[in-house]
Amino acid sequence: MDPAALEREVVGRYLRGHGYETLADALVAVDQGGMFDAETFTAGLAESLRDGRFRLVLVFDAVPNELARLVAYLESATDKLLIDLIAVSAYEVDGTRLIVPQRVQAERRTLVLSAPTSVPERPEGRLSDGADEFIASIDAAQADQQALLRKLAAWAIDLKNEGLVRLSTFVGKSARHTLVPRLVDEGVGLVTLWNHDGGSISFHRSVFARRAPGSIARVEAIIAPKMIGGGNNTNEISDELLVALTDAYRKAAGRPVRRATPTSAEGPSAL
Amino acid sequence: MTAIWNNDGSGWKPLAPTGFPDEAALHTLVEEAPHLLPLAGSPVLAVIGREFPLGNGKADLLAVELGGRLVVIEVKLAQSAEARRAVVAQILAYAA
Repeated sequence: MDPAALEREVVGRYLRGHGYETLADALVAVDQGGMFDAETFTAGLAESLRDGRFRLVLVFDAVPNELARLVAYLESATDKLLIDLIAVSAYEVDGTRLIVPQRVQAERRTLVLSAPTSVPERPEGRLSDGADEFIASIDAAQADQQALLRKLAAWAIDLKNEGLVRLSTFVGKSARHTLVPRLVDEGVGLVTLWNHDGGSISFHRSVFARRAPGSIARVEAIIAPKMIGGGNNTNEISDELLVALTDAYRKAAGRPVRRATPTSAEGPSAL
Repeated sequence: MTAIWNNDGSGWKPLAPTGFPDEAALHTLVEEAPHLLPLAGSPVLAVIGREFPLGNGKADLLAVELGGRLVVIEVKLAQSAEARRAVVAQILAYAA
């Protein structure tokens, strides 16, 4: 089976049922750092299908000992399977449900993981803490885009200074830079900021739905006809949009929202 | 052993897990939030199918990593001896 057949004949219905047309759409929707690279993905998928090389994830509420021993044996006996054995425990504390996922280390695990594999764990690129690399990349952007990019970076730094997020920059192929303001507790972002053929913002619908569902309608009204998610991004970035996104981050962090009026809109600080 | 500890005034005691009502609940949790799984290498992955035909059986979930590697996810409750036997058979089939 080749990647096109997998996409068309096997998983097409599931993808469309979740609002995606292609495998790439599904990945872009969860790709916080903008790390997705179509060429790397297609080559990796073709290799995985051709060689039967894949990751097997076993999720239990508690891991039986005999299963841990079996996993250890199998990993030592094959180089095509990478096995993750996960225990997910659920607790109830003061009416709140807590989920504790843990990876079970089977014997000889370290040796197997250190073995080289031709399918990369991550696409090519580099992830760093903070906004420094993103800011440094702005000087190399087209001159007419630099003001917008500085505005985006300043907005993200304002979020960080407010204690809403931590920042990370991903440097991908073709000098593509992305800056992600990640919620402090969960490590995911509502949006990703791009310096790639100009400045733009992409939106992560699953994070909005989970952390700031009340902000979806407001943001979508501003970016219409585009919608949050599905890999959509916009390069039409107004102060109104940034204020709405700031409020969304405050809601996601459980902070009070200071509703902006046209005369009191909080634009980002100067960089 | 990792545990959640609670002090109700009579000293620190480990909380007993409440578990999942059924396998479907754990299945849904993983399908909706695969990023919660602490996988080796911390890959970004997207779920792309459920009840996916594979060999003589069906994989609970199918996902794919950014780098293109396919991910087969099996979800089971440990107290079910039948499920434990079934997953061992599945693993052996995958490894064959």
